Amino acid sequence: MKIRQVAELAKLKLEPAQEERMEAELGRILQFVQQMQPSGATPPAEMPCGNVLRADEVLPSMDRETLLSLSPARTKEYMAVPRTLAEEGEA
Amino acid sequence: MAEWKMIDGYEMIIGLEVHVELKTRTKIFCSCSTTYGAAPNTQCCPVCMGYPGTLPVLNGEVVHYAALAGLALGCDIALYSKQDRKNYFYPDLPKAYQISQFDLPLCLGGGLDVEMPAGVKHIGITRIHIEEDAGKLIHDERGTLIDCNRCGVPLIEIVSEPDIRTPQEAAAYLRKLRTVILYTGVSDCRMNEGSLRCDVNLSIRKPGEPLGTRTEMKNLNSFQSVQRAIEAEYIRQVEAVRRGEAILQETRRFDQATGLTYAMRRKENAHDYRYFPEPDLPPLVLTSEQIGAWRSELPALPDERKAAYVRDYGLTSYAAEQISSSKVVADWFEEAAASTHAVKTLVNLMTTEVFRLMAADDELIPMSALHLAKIADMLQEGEINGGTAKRTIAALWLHDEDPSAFVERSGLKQINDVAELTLLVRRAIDENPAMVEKYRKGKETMKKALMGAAMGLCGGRANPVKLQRLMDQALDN
Repeated sequence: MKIRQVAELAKLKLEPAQEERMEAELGRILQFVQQMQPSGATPPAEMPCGNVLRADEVLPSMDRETLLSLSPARTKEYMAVPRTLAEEGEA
Repeated sequence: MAEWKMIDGYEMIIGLEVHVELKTRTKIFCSCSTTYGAAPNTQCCPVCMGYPGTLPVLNGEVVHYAALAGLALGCDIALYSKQDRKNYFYPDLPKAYQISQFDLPLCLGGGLDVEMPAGVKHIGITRIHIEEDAGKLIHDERGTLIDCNRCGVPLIEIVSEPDIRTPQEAAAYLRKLRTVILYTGVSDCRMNEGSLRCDVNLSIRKPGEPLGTRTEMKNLNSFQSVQRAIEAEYIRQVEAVRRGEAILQETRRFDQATGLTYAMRRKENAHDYRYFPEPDLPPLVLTSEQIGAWRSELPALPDERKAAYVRDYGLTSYAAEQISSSKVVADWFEEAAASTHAVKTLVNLMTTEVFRLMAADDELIPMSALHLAKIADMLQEGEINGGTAKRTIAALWLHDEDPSAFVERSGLKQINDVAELTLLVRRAIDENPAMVEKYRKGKETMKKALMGAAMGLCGGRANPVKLQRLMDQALDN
């Protein structure tokens, strides 16, 4: 994968010098990962810790003022961001 | 809606992705409430806001509910499943990724039988996975506002096989899916509140040829818009292919006002979401015993009940379908049917009067099932006539009470006594000499008018069959 494509997916704007540096760094990381080989051992069928599940019980949510104060910008009771296209929603 | 017609021999290949919000009290990975309609940003916490250092913990009830939906839809529940990160940048999810399931979903396989005019059609279900919902964005001229209350509300995504071939099949599948999910009780399935949303994948081809490139239409929020969007997109694709243009794999938006679809963006390749196993959540391991216990919680489902109504009560397939299409109605009907011998009469009252009142009253049934059973008995026994049965149901709908008490108090008991009925016929004839004259000169409809007059004299309480016979005798002899 080209460094520019990765940067685009990560919404990063890189200067040419940064691109070069990142390419070298990421290359080294990938090399390191590639060294790893399958050990031949069978993975456990079950995680040793078992399921981690929570009961369906409501606990108080965060105070709205605190929540909004942690957002870079707000309008009334909402977080505010620059206008985005109405069509991009995912879930 | 008019029956769909194939153009130039192109068939449409449709698969649906349906998102259903689960009715758990809390979100999928944190203890925030999921109550619909709360004030903006009052149901959020560091976990669903994705603050650094927080850890999600899966809500056990989400697994339970998703498995119930899967079992009701004929799926296999995976003994081993896991969750994955789907990365994307959009302010509706502050984490910048959605926790979903990629290669090992909770439910696999399954399907639904839908009743079409040409016969029963099976539509396969590929998989059902659990995931988190995103927040709500409000766009205005100055910017975009975010309400994160819906971030982390549990969803199941039900992915169908590309088995659907017409807009009508798509609508029938959605209705059936909604009915079955409502039976399980795991969701409200309210399209207007967004707790059931539908994405349509559509391509065209000549039968027997390989599949064409598909487009996707997202977040359709009514059965009608699903059908209209499918029709519009089919026509667009056929016309594009006729002009020799390629169909691009893209997401399109259906515009309610124009009835057309518009390109939104190219679909990223799946790996652009950079799915990877969610490192904050261990895999989910279930046992056959657990799944068996959940299966035994399921109520009798619509297909099963429909078959039983036809077999045990001699209902028509149509009436059985109508009654079994809602669990509340089906339960109520079964309670009534168990306490009357006049099941046919009961069904007639049900599919006419009760359905009419329900339609006007937001699907609620405020009267006791046992009272409807009693009205059916009284009608069958000739204690009351059809008109009185209707009046009684309408009255009990507003104020439920013992139907015989209402009939007694309102003086609505049917008149079966021949002497009394003969007197009514006599009076109707004596008081309407002009009608009698016209009838004798050949105007057949006058007999009906005279019957009406006789009924009017007793407030509609006469046994109509006996009254008719006496009227025939008086006029024709």
